[in-house]
Amino acid sequence: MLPLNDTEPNRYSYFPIVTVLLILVNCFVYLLELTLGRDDFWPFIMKYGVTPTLILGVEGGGALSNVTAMFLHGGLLHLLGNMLALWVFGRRVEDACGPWRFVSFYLFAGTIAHVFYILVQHDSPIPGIGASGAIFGLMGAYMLLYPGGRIRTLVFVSIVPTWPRIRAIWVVLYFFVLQVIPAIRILSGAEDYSVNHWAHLGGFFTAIFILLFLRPEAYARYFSDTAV
Amino acid sequence: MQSNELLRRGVEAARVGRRTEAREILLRIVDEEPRNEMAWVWLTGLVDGLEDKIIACENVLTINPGNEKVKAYLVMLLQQKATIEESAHVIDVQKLAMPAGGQFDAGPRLSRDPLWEAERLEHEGKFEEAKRAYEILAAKAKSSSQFDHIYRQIVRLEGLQQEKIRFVAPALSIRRMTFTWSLLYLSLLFVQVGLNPFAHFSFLWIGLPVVGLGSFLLALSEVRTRHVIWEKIFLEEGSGSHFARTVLMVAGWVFVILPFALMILNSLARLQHFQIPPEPFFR
Repeated sequence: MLPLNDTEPNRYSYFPIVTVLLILVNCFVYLLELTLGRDDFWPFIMKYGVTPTLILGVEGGGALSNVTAMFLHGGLLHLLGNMLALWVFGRRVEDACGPWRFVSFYLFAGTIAHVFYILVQHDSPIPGIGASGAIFGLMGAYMLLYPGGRIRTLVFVSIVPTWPRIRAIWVVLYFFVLQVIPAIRILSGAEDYSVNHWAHLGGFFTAIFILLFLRPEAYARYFSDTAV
Repeated sequence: MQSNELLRRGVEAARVGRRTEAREILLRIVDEEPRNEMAWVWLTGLVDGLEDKIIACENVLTINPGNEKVKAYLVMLLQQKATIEESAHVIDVQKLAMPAGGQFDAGPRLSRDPLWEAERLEHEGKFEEAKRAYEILAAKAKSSSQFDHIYRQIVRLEGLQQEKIRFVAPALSIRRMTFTWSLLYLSLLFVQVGLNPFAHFSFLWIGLPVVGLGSFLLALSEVRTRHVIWEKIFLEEGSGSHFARTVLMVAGWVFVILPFALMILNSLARLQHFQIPPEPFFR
């Protein structure tokens, strides 16, 4: 299952400027990563990624690395998957928040995602990178704000591709459930660290704070039993 | 420029229908010379809101209680206001025309931007009044783009009324929005101090109330409502003028950005002394 597009229109703004800028910055940083030599890559990731042992030891970039880690990706598929999700779920969340509060929420979700990673895998010397924690925050926020919204989703029935419009709540819950079992396995030490499932769950849980970030009209709508 | 010359220009502009320009000139005159009767008389017909018209009339009658034309106009305005408020109180013309003790009432300051005034009414939950204000503005729109903008606001307000959108008190919105940047700063701060604020007390904690103050100012500049800040700092009543809001917004951004900038500088200093550990073996 791969979400392709949110088919509903914006209500408050015409263009999701921050979502588009975030996508562009992420792509630009990835291109920058590609220019690094093999020997430079590890120091670069150590400096600008989130490493639990360094954060807890108050070493390295701290808050700055926490932010830069949200713009680093380990491969093209990692980047494309995240950017597609950012476009699908970010556009209307930005619409409901306004650009500045959207930036604030995005960074907040990414930071809390890293905090979850640090708390659960506190002895890990491996730097965490990627926008997925923040994007899971957006997915959770989207589910809260637009549970009835429909997402154009690529689904393979056997080997036949279809792209139905599926209710957002089911798409988001599907991705949430995908994280839960590996996250539990990480706790028991049975799972590889290659995907940061606890960061995803951490980002997802920050969605409950989205109500603080909404623009006044969107907030009023949320409590009026009508579409945000 | 002499006030007589300004007055002549203002009156001329009003006569040929350049209302906004005329209003700006006459407001300048009464700012400098609050007891200029003629300027206030012209303003009674040039300001947009009912409240503003009433204030202008009251000011004329304070300067010259014998102005019968303005007195009659004020009676009509007060009747309109009474109808709007659907209150059945009897209008005591003499009492209302003359403020208590015969003192000159210079405030509240008149709204210079009618669009702003309409938005303020909306933010105070007075949807019907706001819609009426937008409708008046649409009729006076000077360009098609301005008309389109105002028309969109009217359609949006009608939508809000039809959908029975609940009114959320501006004070709640301000409190809620004060958390936005503060939460982000707090979360980054925890990461900066190794998730243990007691073991690594940092000067950066001082930034938290500063960011909170900045967020509050940003929220206040966005949500149009009455607040003591407008009176105490900007000497204005109501929900603040465009200028006051802009000043508050700039101050808010400064208060928000400064602690974040300090945190980034602190991070950069740490990165300079950072010894990169060797690459570990992956499982």
